[in-house]
Amino acid sequence: MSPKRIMIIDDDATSNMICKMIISKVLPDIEVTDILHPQRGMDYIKDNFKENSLPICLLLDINMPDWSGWDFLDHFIELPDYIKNKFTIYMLSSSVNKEDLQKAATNTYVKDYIEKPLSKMAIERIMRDA
Amino acid sequence: MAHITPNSCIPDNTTLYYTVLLDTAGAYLSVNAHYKAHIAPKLSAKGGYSMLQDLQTEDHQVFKEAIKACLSNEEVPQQVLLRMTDAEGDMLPIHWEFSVSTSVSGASIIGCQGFAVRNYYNIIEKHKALISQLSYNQNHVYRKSVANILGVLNLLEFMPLDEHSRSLLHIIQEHTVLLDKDIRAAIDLFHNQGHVSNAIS
Repeated sequence: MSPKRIMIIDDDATSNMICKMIISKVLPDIEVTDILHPQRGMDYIKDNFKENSLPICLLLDINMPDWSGWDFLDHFIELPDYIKNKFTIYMLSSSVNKEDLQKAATNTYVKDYIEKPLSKMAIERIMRDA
Repeated sequence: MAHITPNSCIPDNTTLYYTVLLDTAGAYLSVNAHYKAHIAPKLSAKGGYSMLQDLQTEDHQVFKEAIKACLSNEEVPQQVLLRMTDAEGDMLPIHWEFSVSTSVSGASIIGCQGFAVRNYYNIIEKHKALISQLSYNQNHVYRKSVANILGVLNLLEFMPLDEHSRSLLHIIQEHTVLLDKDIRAAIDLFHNQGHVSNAIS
């Protein structure tokens, strides 16, 4: 089932605003939540996801203070399976560093890597593949 | 293979070169006075313990591979940079050349000649740190802003604009894409330079 919700975890408020606006243009019915701090994102997930929660797509930035996207994933793997199974995770980053791309490709929980800016084509791909 | 005796080519009182003879397992057979004073003051005249014990842990594998390469191709000396632990407990980078020889008793031994490259090593380390910082800035500082500009331009594609505004936006888009290409090219360059630095050190 395609996710009806998208969560963005990124410390760049401008990028989040751009993402929300482009998603609303392409998929007006999708609910988008953005969170600036990865730790708060993790708390939000723990507090809000139950066994009957709907699937969700997570767009996760890499370079953030305190916790990077990779640190977030280290904590994500500790979550119960019924929460993890709700998530389709995409790394969304300005980085075009080959090491970041390889790291994303080898992480079991990462579906794909998307270079910023989030484009119409990338959103359509997410909805098709998630 | 040449027959040599310990320190046959380098004066015993050198303060520039380290000379060491190892058995094929990497244990000391003999060392020159400069090496004994700087690296292995506790080494007895009989040698005995492995050179590994005087190496920084990160370079143990490099040392083992150099010995292995030396023994598998005896005609080709192996050059290797090893971070030693000196008598004061500090790290001392030494550039070595390992080559297989035959001792007077006919056994295979490994002759090692090296010199300290602390200044050179420090320059390379600073170079690597600078490349790493530049690469980080390109990926996460400059490209972040460029990506946000491109994101806004993508959004403007959905909005009704007069022809004049649209053509001005296309100019901004064209130049932002060019800037993005330059940043990507710089990232590739830093990536390759980083690999060169790692290979050198």
